Amino acid sequence: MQFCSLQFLIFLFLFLLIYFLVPKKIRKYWLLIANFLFYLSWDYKYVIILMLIIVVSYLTGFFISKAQKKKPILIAGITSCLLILISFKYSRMLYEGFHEIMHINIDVMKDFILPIGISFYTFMAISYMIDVYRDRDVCEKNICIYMLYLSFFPYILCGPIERSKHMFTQFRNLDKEKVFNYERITSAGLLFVWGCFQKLVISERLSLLVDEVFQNYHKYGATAVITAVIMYSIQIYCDFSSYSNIAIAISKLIGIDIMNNFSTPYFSRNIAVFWRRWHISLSSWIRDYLYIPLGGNRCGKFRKYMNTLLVFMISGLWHGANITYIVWGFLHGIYQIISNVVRPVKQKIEKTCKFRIDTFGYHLFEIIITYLFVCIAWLFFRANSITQAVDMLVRIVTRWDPWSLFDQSIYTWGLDRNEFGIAVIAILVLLIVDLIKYKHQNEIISLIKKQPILFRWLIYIALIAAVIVLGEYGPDFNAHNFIYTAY
Amino acid sequence: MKKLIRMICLLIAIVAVWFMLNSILQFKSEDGIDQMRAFYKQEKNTIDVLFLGSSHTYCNVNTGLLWDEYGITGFDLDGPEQPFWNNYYYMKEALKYQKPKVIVLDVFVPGVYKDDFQGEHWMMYNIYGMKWSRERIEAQKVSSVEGNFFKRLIPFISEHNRYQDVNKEDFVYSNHTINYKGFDPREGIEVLNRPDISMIDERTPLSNKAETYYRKIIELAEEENIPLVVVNPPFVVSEDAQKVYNYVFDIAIEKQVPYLDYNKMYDEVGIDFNYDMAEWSHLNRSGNEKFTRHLGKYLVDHYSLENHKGNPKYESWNIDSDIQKQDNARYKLSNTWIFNEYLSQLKNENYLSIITIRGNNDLLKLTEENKLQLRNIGITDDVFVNGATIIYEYGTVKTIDEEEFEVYLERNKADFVVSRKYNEFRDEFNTVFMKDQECFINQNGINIAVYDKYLDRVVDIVGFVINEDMRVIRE
Repeated sequence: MQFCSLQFLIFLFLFLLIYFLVPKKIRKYWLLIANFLFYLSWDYKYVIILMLIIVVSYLTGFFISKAQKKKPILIAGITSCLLILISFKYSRMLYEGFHEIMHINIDVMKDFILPIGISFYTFMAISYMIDVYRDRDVCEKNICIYMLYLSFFPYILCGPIERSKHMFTQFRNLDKEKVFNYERITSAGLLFVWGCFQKLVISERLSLLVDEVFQNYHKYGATAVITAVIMYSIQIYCDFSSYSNIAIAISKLIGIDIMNNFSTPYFSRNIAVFWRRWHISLSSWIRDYLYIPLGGNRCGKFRKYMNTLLVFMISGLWHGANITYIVWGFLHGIYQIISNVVRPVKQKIEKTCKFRIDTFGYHLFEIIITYLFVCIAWLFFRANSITQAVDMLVRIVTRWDPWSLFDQSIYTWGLDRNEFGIAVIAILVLLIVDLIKYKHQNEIISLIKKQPILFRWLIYIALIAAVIVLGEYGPDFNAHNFIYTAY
Repeated sequence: MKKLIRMICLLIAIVAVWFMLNSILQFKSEDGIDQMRAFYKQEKNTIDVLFLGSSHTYCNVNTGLLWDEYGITGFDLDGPEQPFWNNYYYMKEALKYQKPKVIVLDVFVPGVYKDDFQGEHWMMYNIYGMKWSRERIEAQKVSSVEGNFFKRLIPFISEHNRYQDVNKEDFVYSNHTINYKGFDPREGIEVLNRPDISMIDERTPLSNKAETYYRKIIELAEEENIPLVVVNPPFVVSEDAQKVYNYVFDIAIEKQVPYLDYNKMYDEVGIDFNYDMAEWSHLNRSGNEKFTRHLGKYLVDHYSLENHKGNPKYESWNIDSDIQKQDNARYKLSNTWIFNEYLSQLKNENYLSIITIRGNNDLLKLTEENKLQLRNIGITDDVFVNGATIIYEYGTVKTIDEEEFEVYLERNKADFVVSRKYNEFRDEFNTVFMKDQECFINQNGINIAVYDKYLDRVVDIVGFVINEDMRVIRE
């Protein structure tokens, strides 16, 4: 059951209806049932694996809170969870590796299953166990609350990777929320529709061009490849942030706040800032549970750089069992290291040449440079293999064909003239929204709410109309899953 | 409370916008959908003969002619390649609103299309015209391949993709009115071999599904006490198909339902395969007139059908007939290639013709009959030789012989612009715009653009090259 589907809308409607009708004390149990129904709609086998993670992490937390020697229990718990994750997520890669190197055919491993969202809830489980290890008070004795934390349907497929402390309190207080809250419902509604706009109008539309060029890149010159990479950067941003927005919106409807996962990442002026704005829940998780325990900034420079490289490669590997993701992570690690190494030189040049660094022009220059590097990494992320990514990079350099921007061939790359026009307009809308968010520290919804009622309604209605008319959905459209559901 | 009211108002506004978008984007087609939507607009219990079936009904049964010649109030309620199960649910739906004196069921489909499930495109056209009802849901269920019921249940999910094709028709659509009776004739002529199935005696059974619904139709008619006639309109029938029809007619005999196999009645009806077929499957205008006339006579002779002509309650059938006649005139005009005949048709009271005579035309090339016809629409020999633009509108002639001019007209809230201009190199630029459409064939000779005020459309754009033996140029 995808978020942007009729089935989900019906599910959500029924869920909310019952949620607000049942006695407040029963709400959390109904939410738990709904979580499992939602996850069951994918595959019953996935529920078994989820339950396995829940049991292992819950018991680990419980025993840590009671034990004198906590460390061995923590290690056992984390190892068990990681083993489950690895055996389901990376078994294909391991199998293929065996097959390639040893020429061994292991039949039992042919029927792999990859439980959707496993990376997200396993990381949440690990963070919980570490949190209990660090502070026994975090331990949640109520299994129902703990199950709600790991299985909460708005974020189970694609995150955000929430923290236990933040969620436990909210789940415990579910019975204290008011049934009807106008402000909450309109904010959630707007965010929900905006998420649908990002997914159905922008992301799904751009995927037509991106898929065409990436699948048939041999046919295309530099302009098409560059366009496809840029479009992919927007596609993945819209796809992932749309999921987060919808998740936040649904949670808001029942009075639960979950963390923001994106904060205008493409307006970042350097790679470090980009990672504070892109997939915030994952980067902060890696920082808190991996980078800092490894020594963080407190060790020597070499060690720090090695740690940086390692955590980014792990971040890449987290996305999937493919060498392209590891290279993507490696590139981001390298960007960070280079950025750190050249920073003093850059500052010296800026000072010597008396650059006006606090100007719009200079900031824009930094944003563009950062964006270009991020795009190069996206090329590896999206490509099916390193060879393909390198081939495409080579084409950018050797098959220079700027005329194809003017000779109508742009309309043969998967989007016809009208569709391309709609895509460009939708991207402009996205740009405006992100600019406003950038200027107002993400407070766009409260900004809209300060506007006169007619203007506000116009925004709501225009957005809904755009989604239902221009959205790429329905039986005649080959819809894509949210990209991050695969991770 | 104030906030709750505000939210309700917002929801109402959103629903209103959705309805507006839905009405713009919904499928509009004379292949099934329009018939059902127009059916709902009919006054209760005014339809005497309900025609159910496929395109063989809505292309072949001319409701205007049935009205003109017999005063029958008929309605073609059918869809493209519509199978018996859809016929059945159309019938059930129809009987909620009408109590026809007789129902005519066309049985063309099972002989040619034997699948138990239609392609999704036609399936939508056979269902989306219906209002939401139990019948519609059941029709959808029985038409959908297992597991696909929800896929096409909500039309907007399929229709929203039409945003690229939206045009004026989507905002102002004339077929969803009481005046539309479902008839959608095919045009053109295809010369075909006359089939001979007189020797085919074998039977091929229907599929279980088709037979079940065929029998259900017969039983429903019995229950409702409405006489049913089974008809197979003329077409280029194959031997295989006829074997199925033999089986279909056997069931009709078994159930004591009268049937008419028009593929065995070509001579009786006068169907000429050199002239009366639009293609192998459908009759053209000439063919459908012959077929309708015969079927109408049969119905009048065998059932007590009242002639409603003159009764103001049935005025919409008069309008339907007028539309058909005017559409027939349009078809005739746009298929006329002889100069004199063409000019004589311009006298139609609904036409506005803009005639531009340009170039050096030789008067000697005209026959006396040509000259007479030209004079009849206000074009004298002098005007012919010197060139001019004539605006001819049923009895009124406006001749414009200035070297440069620009004339604006307005009919049915549509704009018409006729002009002639020269640039500094003495190049001539003629313009004829009718309803936002460029209607000028830039040809030496006589160029004619004809607008029909009744149909509210440009019906023909033609050029006669006088100096080349009246060669005809058409867009």
